[in-house]
This record gives sequence, C-alpha cells and structure tokens, in this order.
Amino acid sequence: MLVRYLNILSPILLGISAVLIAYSIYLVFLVVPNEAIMGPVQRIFYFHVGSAIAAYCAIAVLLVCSLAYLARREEAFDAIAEAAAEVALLMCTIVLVSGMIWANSAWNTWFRWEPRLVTFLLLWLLLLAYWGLRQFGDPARVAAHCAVLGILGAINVPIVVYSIKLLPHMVQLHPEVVERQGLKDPLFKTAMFWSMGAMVAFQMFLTVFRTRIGLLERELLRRKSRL
Amino acid sequence: MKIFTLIKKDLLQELRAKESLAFMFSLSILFSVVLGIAVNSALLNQESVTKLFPGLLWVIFIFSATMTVERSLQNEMQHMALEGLLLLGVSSFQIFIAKLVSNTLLSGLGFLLCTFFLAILLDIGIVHVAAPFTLIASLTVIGYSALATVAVAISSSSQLKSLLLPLILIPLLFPLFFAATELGAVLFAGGAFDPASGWLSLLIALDVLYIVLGMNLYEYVIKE
Repeated sequence: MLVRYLNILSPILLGISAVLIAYSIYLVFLVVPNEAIMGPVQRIFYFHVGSAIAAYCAIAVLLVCSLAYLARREEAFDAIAEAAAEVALLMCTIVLVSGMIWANSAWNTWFRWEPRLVTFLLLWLLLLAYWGLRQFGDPARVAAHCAVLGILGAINVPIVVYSIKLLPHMVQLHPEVVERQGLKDPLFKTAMFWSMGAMVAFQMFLTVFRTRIGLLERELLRRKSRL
Repeated sequence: MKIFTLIKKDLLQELRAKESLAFMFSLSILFSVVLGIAVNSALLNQESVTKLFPGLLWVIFIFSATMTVERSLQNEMQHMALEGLLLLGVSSFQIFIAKLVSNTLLSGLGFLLCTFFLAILLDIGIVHVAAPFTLIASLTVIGYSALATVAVAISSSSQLKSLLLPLILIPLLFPLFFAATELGAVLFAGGAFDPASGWLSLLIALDVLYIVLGMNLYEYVIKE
C-alpha cells in the first residue's frame, strides 16, 4: 500500500527538486556576483551549506523512524530509516568533498582540524558504521539492531557538535556566515535559501525513492522465501 | 540479587579461563611497543612525549579493550544461554547492568595494564597525577563499557562479529575520547585539574546518557 503512495510521490518530488536545483544553478552561476575575497570558488558554498542542512534533516528522519520502528515494529519505518541513513551518508560525503575543494582553494590545505570539518567527518564515520551494520548484521535481527544504532548515533550528533566546539583550536578559519557575519548582498541570501531548499527537496526525493526500493526488496525476499 | 549472581558468574568464568585477561595483557604490550617505536622514531623531546601520552594511551585502550570485550557475550550466545536466562525471569535490564559492571572491571584492569606498559616504555611519571587521572580514567571506562555492552550484543549475532564491533563502536566513542584526551593532556602538560571543567561535566553527562540509553535499548537488542 505504501509503495503505491511512494510511486506517486517519487516523480512529484523529483520534479520539484529538479526545478529547484535548476533555479539554484541559474542563481548561483548566472545571477549572484563573485564574492570579493574568495572569487568564483565561493559558489561551492551554496551547495555545501544546502547539503549540510539536508544531512541534518535526513539524520532527524533516521532518529524518528528508528524510534518508531522499536515502538511499532512496522517494516515501513525500518525501510525509511535505512533510506534516510544512506541519503545522510551521501549528503555528508558531498559536504566533506565540497568543503575540501573549498578549503584547498581558500586555505591552501585539504583538511584542517576545524570544528565544522571534524563534525562532518565524525558524522560520516557514524553513518558509515550504520551502513556497515546494515550490510553485515544478522539478517534476522538487523532491523532492530540498526534502529538501536540509529538512535545511539543520532543522539550522539549534538554531543559531537558540542564537544568539537570545546576542542582547542588556534584560529578558526571556517566562516560562520549564517550565525555571525550574515550575508551582505541580498542576492547571496536569495541564492543560499533557494539552494538550501533545492538540496532538502532532493534529499526528500532520494529518501522516498530509496524507501520504495527498500520496501520492494523486502517484498521480493518474502515472495522468494514462499517458493 | 540476580544482578550480583550474574556479575559473579561472569567474573568467575573469566578468573577460571583467564582468556580475556591473557589476551588483554598481550595486546597492551603489543600496542604499547608499536606506538613506542613510532614515538621514538619521531625523535620528539620528553615534553612533547608527555603531552602525547594520554592520547596514545586512549588509542591503545580502545583497540585492546574492543578486541577483548567482544568475547564478553560469547558464552551467552552459545547453546541459547541468553534465552535460558530470559526464561528464568532475568530481565534484560539486569543482564545489561551485570554485563556493564563486569565489562567495566575487565576494561579497567586492561586500562591499568596499558597505562603501566606505556608509561614504562615512554618514561612518563604518573604518580603525581594519579588521583585526578584515576577519576578521569574511571569515568571514561564506565562510559566505554556502557556503549561496548550494547555494541557487543549487536555485533555478536552477526557472522562478522569481531570485524563489525570496532566499526560500530569506535565512531560512537568520539565524544568520550575527546573528553578523556583533553582532560589527560591538560593534566600531563602540568596544568591544574579543574573539577569545574566543561570536559569533566561532559564526561559525567556522557556516562549518565550512555547508561540510561543502554538500559532502555538493551532489551531490543537481545530479545529480538
């Protein structure tokens, strides 16, 4: 039943995210002026921040669905949690790679022990652990085990963010655009919010699409076992 | 009462077989020697080695304890002993607390071994910081054991077992590792121990959080 809804929802979300991504690309590459200090490489920022927000959204979905699975034991929650974790892993990878490209251009180094960089590296490792358990866990128990690991991992996220802020660092180079400095040009702000919306919509599409595949895989296994 | 019986069972089993203790003893020496060679080849001065000491110590502890603690649920997984315990009316909460205590005692002993070997190999004096370092180490070992107890129950039903455990446990340990390393680094760099430090509060909060989460989630891991 849920697969039918997902069949309808998938193309709608794909359409919305395609339009939003196309409009963001238009804004980022054709409308927004070059940033005064960093130049064209600053344009990575729009998709870098958008992917970070999308990763946090996917981790929130993972937490909620893991809790719901333990409470209700419904297969759909497990499939959504699995999809959300994979999408969060993808988004964290985009954040890390785009951040490293930016860092190499702006700071002349691929990686620094900056709070934000370390946060996403650790989130990536946590999600990789979840993926490892999905792949290599005991098939009969993997859903409940993944739900427990999903809860432990997602609860660890704010602690990781907080503890990294406590770490000593000499001079923090990572800009805190949204929290402190703000975006001076209104066009920067417009492009950032559209690209953020585009990445979140894309994350929702990928989650829905992967959930559909996950549910069909489970159905296939059930039918195979009946034969 | 059931909890004490379970703890006694685990400790007696370990004292009779001495498998984990022997394994942890060997691993502590091996990892200490490997890291000792690495530090020695870097030609660092003694002050830098002293600052590095707590970080290296936690690396050795996490790896040797993780490889040892994997065996803690092995007996229960064989011959359906875990199901037998649950049928006898022992709750998952009681099993978790008993495993937490026995893992903490075993890991604590492992930590003492790691500290002893690494301090000798790197020529680090630890007597002058013994009291605050014992507090930091105890809190870290408790937090580690709480997470390890849940992670072992998850990994032990998998075919990969010992390969899966570090993959799922180590990423969860990062906040604990940060707090322990930072507190240790300040201590060994000659700084005064500050009981009001944010790191110490974080360490205590993590212990409480991991124990509460473990108590509530252990049921879903073992009863599935």
